[in-house]
Amino acid sequence: MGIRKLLFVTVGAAVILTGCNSNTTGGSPPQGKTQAPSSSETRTDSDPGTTTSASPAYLKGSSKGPAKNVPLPKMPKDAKKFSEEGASRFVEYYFDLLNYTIESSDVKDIKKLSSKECRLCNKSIIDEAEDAKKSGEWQVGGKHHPTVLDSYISGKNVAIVTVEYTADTAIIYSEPGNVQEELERLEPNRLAFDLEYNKGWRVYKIIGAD
Amino acid sequence: MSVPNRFLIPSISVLLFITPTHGALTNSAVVIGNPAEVRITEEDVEETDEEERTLILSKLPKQNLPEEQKNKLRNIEKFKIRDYDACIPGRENVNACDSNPDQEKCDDGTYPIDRQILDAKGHVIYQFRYCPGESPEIRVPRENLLEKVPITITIQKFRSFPIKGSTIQSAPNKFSLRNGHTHFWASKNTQEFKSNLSGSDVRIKAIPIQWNWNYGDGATRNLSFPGEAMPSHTLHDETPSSHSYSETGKFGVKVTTLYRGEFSVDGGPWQAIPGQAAVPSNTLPIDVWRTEKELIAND
Repeated sequence: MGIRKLLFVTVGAAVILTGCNSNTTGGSPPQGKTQAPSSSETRTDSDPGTTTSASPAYLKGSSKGPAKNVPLPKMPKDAKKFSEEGASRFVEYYFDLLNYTIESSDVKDIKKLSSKECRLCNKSIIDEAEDAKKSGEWQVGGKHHPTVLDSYISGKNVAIVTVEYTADTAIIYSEPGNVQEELERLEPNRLAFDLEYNKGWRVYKIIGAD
Repeated sequence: MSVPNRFLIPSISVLLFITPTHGALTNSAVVIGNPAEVRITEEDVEETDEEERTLILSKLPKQNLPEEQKNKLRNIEKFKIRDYDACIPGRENVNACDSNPDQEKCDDGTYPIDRQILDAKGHVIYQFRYCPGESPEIRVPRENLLEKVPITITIQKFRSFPIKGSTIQSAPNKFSLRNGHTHFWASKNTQEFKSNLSGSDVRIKAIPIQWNWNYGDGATRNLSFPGEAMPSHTLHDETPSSHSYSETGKFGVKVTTLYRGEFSVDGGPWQAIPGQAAVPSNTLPIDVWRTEKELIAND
């Protein structure tokens, strides 16, 4: 995205803030794409509970720099239910959080929903994102796409959700314009998410399911 | 068989007494200079699976225990097995998934069975797929199972019933023209069988879920519906189950129908049998001709 467009988006949001605070529309935050000024109005106004109303609009990552102000996905209500359906929705949400973490390198929320013992959560997601934050690297692309194949309540507070997922190609940059690595598309692969329930779901571990 | 056979471990009791191999616990220390890559790669999955298994093993006494103690332990460690079909046609509502009739299959065209091995709390220790007739990668000895095995119909038993294949028809009947759209359809018959197991009356249902067509000219197609008779069909009309021959000649058309199974013991609820039976149909001969255009004067 060009700098001119970025300015346009930011200015658009600022105008709305000063001009029409009462015009709350209650729309959902934008997902994954740069928004035109008209949609950024909706996002800025729709979240009056937090103090983010002054934050600039979401900016997609590019060769010039990492994504900025990536909207944190909200957990759907169904994902909190102790049921097979609830466990499926939770795993889908976990992938939303993973995609958010890829863009933002912010591990706070995904850490809360992953048990310390979950090796794959740490190895593939949390440790890597924390490393990226430290080194200043950023990833563009690489979104994961899950499809739930099965969900099963296997114990008193345990569910196993089988998922097939793919991931898009990605580029890792170390500094503006400097490609550190190009990642190929991940072909369909299967995982079993072992979840534990205690007032809500949490990933206990993830293992391969091929 | 196309399903990967990664962990060649004959039985879990053996598995549980393997001493951890040195080097299996590869620490995930970040090598400086490696790009931070936030993604779940197959290599990461394999490596952490290995670590998980090593962890399970490390909690157990070492291999050089006397046989007596090993047996004692064998009796303490209890496991549960769950076999199921993941996302096959006709089961979408049950599993809330999008089935794909062209997903990875066993040699006979049926879908692999998913197996989960769970510990006493319900946590999954292993999960893998296997094809009926082939020995699963990991078997749990009966004495290590948490629950007594109830009366069940295995996929092998299900396949031993005389399930009839679909009958197929074509329009035009057994005849076509080159590059025309020959319409094919198959029958869709749920079949029921009775059996007696350990003194219980068992009813078994075979439910067709997929039709794998072989048109005899090298073309094949997998459909999750049988097609239906279309009385007003002409060779100009392409239909969801039609096929077009690009060469003239005599061809034999066949369809292999996949049946999933359910069983009910003494009038109890219907339960799914993991796996399917692949049943061939009759062969329908098709004679494909070519047309020639000639100008004929009216007078």
